[in-house]
Formats: sequence, structure tokens, C-alpha cells
Amino acid sequence: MSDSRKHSKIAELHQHLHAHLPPDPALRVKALEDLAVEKGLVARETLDTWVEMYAEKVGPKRGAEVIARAWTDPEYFTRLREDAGQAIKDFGYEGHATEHLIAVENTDEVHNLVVCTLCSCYPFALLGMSPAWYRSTAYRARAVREPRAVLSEFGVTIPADVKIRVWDSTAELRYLVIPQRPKGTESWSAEQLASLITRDSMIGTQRELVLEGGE
Amino acid sequence: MDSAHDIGGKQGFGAIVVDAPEFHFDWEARAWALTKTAALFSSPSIDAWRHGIETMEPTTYLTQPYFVKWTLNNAGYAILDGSFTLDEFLQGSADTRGAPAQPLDMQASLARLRGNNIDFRRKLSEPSRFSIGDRVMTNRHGHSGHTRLPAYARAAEGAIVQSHGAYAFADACADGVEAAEYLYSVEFDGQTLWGPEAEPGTSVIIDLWESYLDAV
Repeated sequence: MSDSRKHSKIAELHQHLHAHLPPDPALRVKALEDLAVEKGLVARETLDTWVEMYAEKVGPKRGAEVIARAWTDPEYFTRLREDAGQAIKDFGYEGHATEHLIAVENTDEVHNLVVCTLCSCYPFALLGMSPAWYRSTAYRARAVREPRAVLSEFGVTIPADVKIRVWDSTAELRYLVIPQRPKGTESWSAEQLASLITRDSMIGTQRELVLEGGE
Repeated sequence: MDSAHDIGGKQGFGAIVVDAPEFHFDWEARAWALTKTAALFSSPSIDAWRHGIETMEPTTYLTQPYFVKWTLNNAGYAILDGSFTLDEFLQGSADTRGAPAQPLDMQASLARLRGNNIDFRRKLSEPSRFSIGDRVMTNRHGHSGHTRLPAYARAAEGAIVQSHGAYAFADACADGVEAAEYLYSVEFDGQTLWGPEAEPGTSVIIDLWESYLDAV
């Protein structure tokens, strides 16, 4: 079957499945899991491990470690800005949707915010699963049009003289925001700094990092 | 295609629920894991898979939970590919079973994740048409296949701010055609996109392939 025929056929299948499957989403996913396991397409243990991996090992702590190193190692900072997809390989954090990673830097003059309006692209292997709001229609619709209003809902006020650049991830490039290093952390170790860096600050829905922990 | 997924700039969606976890329910994590580990669900290209989601009837697209859409799309592709039948899926059990899959342990799962960093760069012999700093105008029209020029940025003038070299062209790859084009990041002023209502001091940067653009 040609790909374009498949595209019209898949829309019919979606509607048919949607109409005939039990409405409970958990049962819909379970139906697919059970069948995939019976067909030998995946083992249940593999799914358990994948869920555990994203809960325990893959998450924003990875991104925080990368940024803390960039703050404390100027040579690494340069590499991260030039080719973030390569730079994160120092940590072995490459993977799903990170090969073409671009690190954008917040400054006194510029704040960066990341969105994917057409779907929900996100650098999963580096930041873990995206927060539910990132995938929501409200965020996807509004972030490009009224970023200041969106940020205010996150409790973030960007001064009028700070420009907001919104990065809409429409291709296979993915974006990582480098937040500003807080003042008063000059003597902190990379490990202490990493504890300050949040998931939202790496997407751009947080600007100021809060000094707690560390020293 | 011009459908409900192309949502950037649309109004009326209300406040963002900011205090949201990655997963609300276990089944969401399960659907994620299933998509990423069962080989058949990644058999179409990522572009074809995304286009599958886009073809969903708009009211379904806008009302179904995110990972239910993934599940419907995965099931649809598996049926089209002959991995299982519609009847098997609706009855929730297989008529014919396969040999059980080998489980992946944590080490193998981490290796699989690392190995999933797909390189979409390509080589083109002809030179790129645009350079950083060039002013460009985006196409007025989309098309009914998969495309990544959002509706809110059509017939809009912007400036090339990054030039990335050639990348696999999503519009073609979604149809199973291997083709590449130069890719650029194009910056648009808020005023250009949203007119007098635009928030001051804002811009949007969009990653766009060369055939979406004309010289100004």
C-alpha cells in the first residue's frame, strides 16, 4: 500500500477504533499491550524496565548536570553552544531526540522559551518525559502568541526591556535553554549548582533559579 | 495538512495547568513505553507517524488524551502493516500468537535509548539559497500532506538567524520518499505574526526547510 493511501486509511482506522474500543483510556492501552505481548512484539518486563528507566535514570537531572558543567567549565560552555548534540555525549546522555540539540542562552537582555506547536517535540533523552502542560493544547497554542501572558501563569514576569524569543521546534532540532547562573554562587561546585537547575528553567517557563540547597 | 494539530496562535484555550506531572496515570507511562520499545510501532518514519496523528478527525484530536492518540495511531499502523488484525485488537486477544519477545533489562534499555539518537542530516551537492541575515517570505499555502510550516507563519516575512545545512525533508519522508533540503531557523517579529495585538518585545523562531521560503 502506498504511503498516501495509508494516510487516508489510518484516519478511518482511528475513527473505527475510537468508536469501538472501551472508552477508558487505561483499557485502550492495555488492549494494545496485551496484543503486542501475545504477538511477541515486546515483553512485559521490557515495558516495566522502560517505565522504571524514565522514572529513575532519565530526567531533568541530566540536563541540570550538563548546564552546571557549562557554567563552571568555559571550554565546555563553548562546545555546548556550538554543538549541544555532541557536547552531551560527554555524559552519555544522547538518545531519543537529542542528536540535533541546540542550547540557547538566557542573558540580561534575552529570555528564551521552547514550544512545539505542531506536535510536542522535546529532548526526551536529556530532560525525560515532558511535563503534561508542555503537551497541552493551551501551551502549544498560546506560547507563540502571548509568551508574556503564558509566563505570568507560571509566576514569571519578564521585564519589558527583556526580549522574549520563542523557539517553535518544527523540524528535528531540539532546544535546551541555558538559564542564567544565580549571583552569589561563584564558589559553588558543579554538583551544588546542578541542584538549583529545574526542568522548567531548561524549557524557559522559569527564569530566576532559587538559591536553596547548595551551600 | 491544515487540521486541528496546527494549533499555534489559536485562541480560546484558557489557562495553562502549570502544576502538572510528567504522567498523571500509570497507563500514560505504559503507552509511552510501548511506543518506544515495540519495534513495529516505529516502523513508519517519524514523519509518517506524526502525519498519522494529524489525520485524526479534528474533534477526536482535540478531545482525546495525548497518549490515547498515540495508542490509536500505533494500533492503526500495526493493523495496516499486518502485524495484527482489527478484529484481534477489538477483541483484545490474538488469534495467532508469536514467539515471546526477549525482555530488555535496564542496561539494554539504556543502550537502546542512546542508540535512538537518529541523525537527520544529509548531504546535498547544490549550494544553499539563503544565508544568515537574509530576509525571506514564507509560502502562503500549505498542502494536504505532512508539512512543518505552521499556519500562523504563512506569507510572513522573517530573517534567517541560523543555517543548519541539509536535513531529511519531513514533507517527503512522510510519504516514504527520501529527499533532503537545506534547513534554516527563521525569526519573525511578534508584530509580523500577530499585528497590533502582539506583545511587545517578542519574536518566534521557526525551523523551516528551503522550499517553504522565497527571497524578499
